[in-house]
Amino acid sequence: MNRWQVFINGIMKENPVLVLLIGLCPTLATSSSANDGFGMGVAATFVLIASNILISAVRKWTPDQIRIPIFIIIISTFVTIVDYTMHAADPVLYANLGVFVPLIVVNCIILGRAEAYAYKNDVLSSTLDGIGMGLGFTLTITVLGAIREIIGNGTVTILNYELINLGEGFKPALVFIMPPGAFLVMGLLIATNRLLIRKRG
Amino acid sequence: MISNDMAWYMIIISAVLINNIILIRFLALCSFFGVSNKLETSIGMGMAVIFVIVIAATASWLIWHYLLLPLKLEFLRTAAFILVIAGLVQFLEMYMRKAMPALYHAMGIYLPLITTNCAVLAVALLVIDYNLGFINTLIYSVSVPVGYTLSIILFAGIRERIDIAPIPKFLKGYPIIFITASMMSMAFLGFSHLFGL
Amino acid sequence: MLDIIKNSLKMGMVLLVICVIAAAALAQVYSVTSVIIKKNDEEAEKKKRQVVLPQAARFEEKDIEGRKYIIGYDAEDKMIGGIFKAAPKGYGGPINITAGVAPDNSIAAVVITKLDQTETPGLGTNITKPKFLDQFKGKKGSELKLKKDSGTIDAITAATISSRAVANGVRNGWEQYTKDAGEKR
Repeated sequence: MNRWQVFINGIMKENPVLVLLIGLCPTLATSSSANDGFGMGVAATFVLIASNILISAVRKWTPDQIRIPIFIIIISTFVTIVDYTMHAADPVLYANLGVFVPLIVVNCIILGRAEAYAYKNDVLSSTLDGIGMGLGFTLTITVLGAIREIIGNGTVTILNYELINLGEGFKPALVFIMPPGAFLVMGLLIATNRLLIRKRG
Repeated sequence: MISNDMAWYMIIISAVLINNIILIRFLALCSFFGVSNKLETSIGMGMAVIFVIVIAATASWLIWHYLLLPLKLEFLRTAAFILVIAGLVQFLEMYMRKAMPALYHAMGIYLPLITTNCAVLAVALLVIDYNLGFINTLIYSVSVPVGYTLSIILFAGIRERIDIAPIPKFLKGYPIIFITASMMSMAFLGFSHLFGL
Repeated sequence: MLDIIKNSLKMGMVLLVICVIAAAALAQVYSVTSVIIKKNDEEAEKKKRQVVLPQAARFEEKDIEGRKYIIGYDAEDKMIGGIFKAAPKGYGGPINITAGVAPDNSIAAVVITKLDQTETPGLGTNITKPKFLDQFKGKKGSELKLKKDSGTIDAITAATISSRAVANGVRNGWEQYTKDAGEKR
């Protein structure tokens, strides 16, 4: 696979959430608003890219038997950095994401890519893989969040800025920002992505 | 949502039903969708998860209260807990390979994946965030995976039916499974004001 | 045999080095960010006090039998009101309420920010909106109850538990405040 394909791969054909079905927990849990979803996506993407780079850079010095603990130490260090940085920079987002910020460390996407790609490939490819997968993840979770938020709350907010507000007259279907809504929209998104891939051939 | 002054039976009801870890709190989803296609593996996974969560949560509680807090090393929390969990799952794997080879092979890749099961780390973190005492930690860390096991067994039963039902082509497979989960979640939402919780 | 020991030692060293580097990096990040976090908390607290008693030029903390209050003084050092805090149990956890009391013992204002509560999004979180909180202004005593509980406060639709928690929290805090203020002031 050439470098460009590695990058594009993560967005559609091997979209971590919609196709590989990993990283589900934070996707469903933090997508009750586009803002929270986007924040989670960015945080996880940062950890993914940083871990991919570091793990790829030290792969020649990493003994095979202890590679999993080393991955875990590296990933959890970046997660803790993101944890404290987010707490300082955006306390409201941090409070909304709650326990899911430290849970980035068990996000299957990050550990999975470390094992499947970064450990076996050079730094540049690993970086692109991280960016691609991260982009796919962030895009999915933000779209999911936007859909749930607009139907369930009548607004779409991103980066703490209200993009759309359907006003007082719109009576939202609250179930969409609640757990059942998450599962429902997710199922439909998977089906939609599948149709789109099939159409593109 | 759980506080230390809650009665023990309230903690159990809250953890198993009202705040069901999968259908309401969105944790352990990867294993939920991955293992629930067969009833036997679902039960096996449920048992393994109960074992891991109880030990991981209590070990983490002890490490937090007797090591990290006194030494002011709170920021090492995430790293310490996940390393404990990884070690525990490793031991469980080695034990199961020798003592229960059939189940070990049936569960395959999903056994080491318990390490990345968000529910395990989440419970370890939550017993700290909720400020639970040791006894309440034990009660909570047993109840949560019991709720997990309940949901996954119920779901496995439904999935076996879905496989033989007529479903539009583009919804076949995971889309319809998610939509089914959405209805199960709605059913569990019905517990939400139980006992004023 | 010696090989295995050498190998294990090598792996142990690698792990140790990585752990030390990681811990050092984290300690650094922690020391920087914890300063910012503390400052953010102090700023938020200052803002809440200002919102609740806008004419106050300075605030002074007072402790009466373990209960903490904040007295507001205007530019001429005259007392223009007091602030009490309440943390009643809401639907999703404790709700941190900051309420100001005017010299005539009526509620001056109540403030609850997004970070002060963990109620259901779209429903209970509306307790942070002025539409709900403005109802408390100028009221006292048994007026500080929901209309459903023979008071004067409109609950938020489909968020009765959250609304009731706030109303009762404000009323209980007010009762304790007026009792303490009456005796010590």
